[in-house]
Amino acid sequence: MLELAAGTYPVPHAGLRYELARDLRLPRGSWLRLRGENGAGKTTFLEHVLIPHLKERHCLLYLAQDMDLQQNTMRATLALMGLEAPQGLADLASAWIEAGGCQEVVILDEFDKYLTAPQLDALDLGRFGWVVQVSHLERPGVRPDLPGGFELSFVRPDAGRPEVHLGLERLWPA
Amino acid sequence: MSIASPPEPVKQNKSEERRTPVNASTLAEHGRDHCVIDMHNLFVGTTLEDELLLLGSGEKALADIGRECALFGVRLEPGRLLSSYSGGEQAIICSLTLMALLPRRPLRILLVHVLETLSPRNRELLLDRFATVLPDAGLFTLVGSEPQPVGRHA
Amino acid sequence: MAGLKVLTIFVQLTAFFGLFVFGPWYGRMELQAALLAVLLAATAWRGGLRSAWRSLLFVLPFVLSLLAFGLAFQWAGLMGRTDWLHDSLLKALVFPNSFLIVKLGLESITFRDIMGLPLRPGARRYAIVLKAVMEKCTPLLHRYRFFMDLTPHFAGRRSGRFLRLCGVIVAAYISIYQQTEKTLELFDHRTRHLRKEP
Repeated sequence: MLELAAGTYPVPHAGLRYELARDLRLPRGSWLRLRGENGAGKTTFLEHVLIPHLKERHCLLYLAQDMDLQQNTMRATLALMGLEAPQGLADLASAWIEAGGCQEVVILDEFDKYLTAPQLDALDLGRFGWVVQVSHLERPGVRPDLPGGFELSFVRPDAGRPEVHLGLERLWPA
Repeated sequence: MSIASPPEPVKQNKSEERRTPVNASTLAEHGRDHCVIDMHNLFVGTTLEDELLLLGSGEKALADIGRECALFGVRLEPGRLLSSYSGGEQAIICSLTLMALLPRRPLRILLVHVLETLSPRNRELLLDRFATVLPDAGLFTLVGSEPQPVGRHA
Repeated sequence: MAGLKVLTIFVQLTAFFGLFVFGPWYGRMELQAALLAVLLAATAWRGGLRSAWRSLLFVLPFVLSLLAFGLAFQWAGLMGRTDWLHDSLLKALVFPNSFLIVKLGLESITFRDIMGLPLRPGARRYAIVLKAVMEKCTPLLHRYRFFMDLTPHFAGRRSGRFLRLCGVIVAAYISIYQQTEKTLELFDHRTRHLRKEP
């Protein structure tokens, strides 16, 4: 089970305070999509709340939004492991994911915008215990390879105030 | 601002063609014929004030851009590092900056990973602003390695 | 005014190196320590405590290796000398002082100063790009550390921490070249498209 207790999660240096009204409890095989307006704090939540919480309990792979930077560490990692670092981003990500040997949690922050649908399928995200994805693209339909789908919405009622309200919705099964 | 209908979602590209790799220089490939707004190479400077200074503009443009940003829910703060804004906010700030500074003549603007970084609401709003502020400009995105017109603003 | 400011900064840097690195005050441990405190305070005042802390973290590996070598040579009595530790302690102060003062000096030169200098267009272009790359690359180390600290690829390896550090350094080197190329391209591209006449 991937869990985050209901409560308030402040991130002082970003000037944000996340308010999760209900416990986040995602069974194995879940897909969690993070959705919200630009600047609502999705990436900050990932990097300063969810990831620090999850990495104590789970092995995780994180594909960040600033992929132009992260690909440098991906290439360096593969090189240090004595592996070839492919040129194209889709192949690089695939090789990096394979080399990580981790099949628990994968987190993609708008990574789908770099890939075609076949390339995204080729990542075979269904083998992971949990998939967390930030995306502004069209919400996909039910994914048969992932038993459960959820959406965590980020709503910032007032841009001048730190509160960000998080609301969880089950997408599938109905 | 005029949004007549709910914003169209951007679909995952179903094409077999590979997307442009992040490390390919879109400026080198398309910069001659297009004004390129590439998510991975948005700004020369690190603050908007510096950016405007380097591009030969000043206080008035800053005020105009601030007002436009507010339409998108982006609050510009004096002296704030551009990298401290979210990715989508940076795309909006860069697009509005260029809208304010580009000459009003027919030109081609290539958006690379910009529209996919915006929420549906901000995407429609940005296209609307381009149509209003730069009506003679053509907007393009990369499909595979070729610029293709954005449907709404071709 | 910009010219005077930049000249003053370079005169101060020259004076620092002339006095504290290659000159009469090099061997004065108490002066070097006092200067380090002043430079750290100036860094904190300019960029906050976090910035000062990150600057310290950046130089720490070099300082620690200097001290480690000094200890080792002292213990071994290398070349019959008994002042290895004193010498390495001195270098452990001079190195961060040099780094901090150059960093502070170059950061003090703003884009507005560069635009106000009597430079040829080509030279101004390079100065702008150099300043931009310096500002962009400094926070990248922190970002690369974040990525490498998260990566599970070296889990369970005894040299995992060392390999992660190597990953940061390799990525940082790639970045400097990439950022320079990208920034130069972008600056040329923007100035070309923003010209009023076609």
